[in-house]
Amino acid sequence: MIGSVVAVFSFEWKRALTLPRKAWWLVLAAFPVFIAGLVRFTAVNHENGPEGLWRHLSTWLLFALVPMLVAMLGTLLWTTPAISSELERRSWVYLAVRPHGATAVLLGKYLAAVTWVIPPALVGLTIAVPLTGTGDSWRVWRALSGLVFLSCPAYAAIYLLLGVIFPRRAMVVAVAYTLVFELVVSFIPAVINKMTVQYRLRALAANWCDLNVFNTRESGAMALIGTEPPWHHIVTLVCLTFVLVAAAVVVLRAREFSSSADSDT
Amino acid sequence: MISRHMSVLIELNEITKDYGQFRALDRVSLQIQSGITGLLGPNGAGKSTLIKVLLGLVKLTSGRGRLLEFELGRQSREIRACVGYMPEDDCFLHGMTGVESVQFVAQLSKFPATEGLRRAHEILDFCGLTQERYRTVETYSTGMRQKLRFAQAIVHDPPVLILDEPTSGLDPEEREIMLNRIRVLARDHGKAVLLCTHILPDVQSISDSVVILARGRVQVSEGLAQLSRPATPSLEVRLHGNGDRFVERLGAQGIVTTAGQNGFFVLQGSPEELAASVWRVAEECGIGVRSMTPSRNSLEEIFLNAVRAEPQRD
Repeated sequence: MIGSVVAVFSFEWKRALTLPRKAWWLVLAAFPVFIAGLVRFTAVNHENGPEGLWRHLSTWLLFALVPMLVAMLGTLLWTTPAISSELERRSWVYLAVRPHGATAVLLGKYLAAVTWVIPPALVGLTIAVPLTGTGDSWRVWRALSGLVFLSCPAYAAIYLLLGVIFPRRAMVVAVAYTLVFELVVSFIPAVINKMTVQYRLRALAANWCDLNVFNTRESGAMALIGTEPPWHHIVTLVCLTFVLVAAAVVVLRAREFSSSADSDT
Repeated sequence: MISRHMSVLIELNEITKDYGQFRALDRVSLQIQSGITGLLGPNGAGKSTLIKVLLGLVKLTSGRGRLLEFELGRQSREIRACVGYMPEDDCFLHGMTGVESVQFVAQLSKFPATEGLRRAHEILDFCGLTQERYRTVETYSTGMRQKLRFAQAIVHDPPVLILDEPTSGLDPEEREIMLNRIRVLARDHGKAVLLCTHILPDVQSISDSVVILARGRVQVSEGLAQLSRPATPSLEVRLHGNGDRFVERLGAQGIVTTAGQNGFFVLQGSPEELAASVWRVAEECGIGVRSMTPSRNSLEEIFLNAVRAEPQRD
């Protein structure tokens, strides 16, 4: 089983070294750098605002760009079509008829996606942090790097499961989920936002980067970052990741996939 | 290799598979022995569904079955480990060379990378893919892709092979070579082969038995030798020269003869008993016998009769 997963992982990494994938890698790494640079150099008198305001704004911007958008976009592009791409290429049956084929393909692709997305996120973050002039750069870099290592596996697991449940409309469903849950529901100041990955990451970012500007009862923002200790969020994210990947494997084993070529019964 | 006591390769008992309202397999019961079995049927007959059921790719609606000693639906992983499947679809893994894709499949079948590579080269040699194995599969011709898919099916040395249209798209020479490979695997290496194809001469030339499906039901499941035996035994004779006296002399001996074209005759009776008379009369008449074979039902005839037969009413 492990050998099969390693084989799929190696194969997927070989695929990742093609020109289009390399281009995507560069786009993901350059995206936060470009946006951060744009904000920094277009912001007028950013050092003259209230004390700490620029630090908070630039840190939240980096958070939104790297552990959130880059991680989401990278894993969305890689893990969501894990099954549908093989079904479209009609190669699924090849892989699925091997003893551990289906599970190995799923896990191998998942690991390849996670390890492929983390490096551009870290590269982008490393360049973008000093570019924003956020002040305590080392602390912000460490915190957001840690979040990258949590967000990529978690988002990849979510998209993997969605890709297995909805192989025909995987991308549409994944984008809809991201927009509705991670970008809307996560900002609703109610218990429901605790169900999102975004809430956990945001809470960790606020804690690790000491972003207490929102941490006031007057702002009404307590529900957006919660009061749980960091370990609680980390454990939740790690458990969520494992549960989602396991669920994807279970659903995959239970499902009957047919390729577009299966019109002949 | 299939052990001798395990001559029943596949045993299906009242297998039914529904896709929503559509019944793809309708209470299919059959036993497939080891050797080469041709699986025939028109489009939509249920052949692909039957293969998917055997491989555990789809779940049974009802019924039970087993492949070797493993139960269908419950021991899919074990079944997949001992089955080599060559799908009909022109599916291949982009960006890989031929040898890499066979190695990859071997690794998915639990072989370590180095052993997978060794086996890949060995199997590609057997399949006749020489230097082409180092080219990416996108550049392969139809024939090369067929060889590659065949190699991927057998790389883990499975005792059972399910081959879906293994000769489609091949030129006559390549087709004959492919059939020979299948023959070699079955006869010399003891593989059990389920050959699913629309090319009836392929089945006729290498199969030991035939299963014909139509409308999701088994219409025929029998040994090819028994199926080919005509209802009335007869002997087909082709002569060199004028056969009028020959027919006359045979008629005098009470042998009913039907004349065809170009010296072709069909003699009614047991081929074994007729053969001696044919040689003697031909010598007496001074004509040569070009060929003499027992009459056989053609597979095409058997297939059409099976497919056109009215579905059984329950």
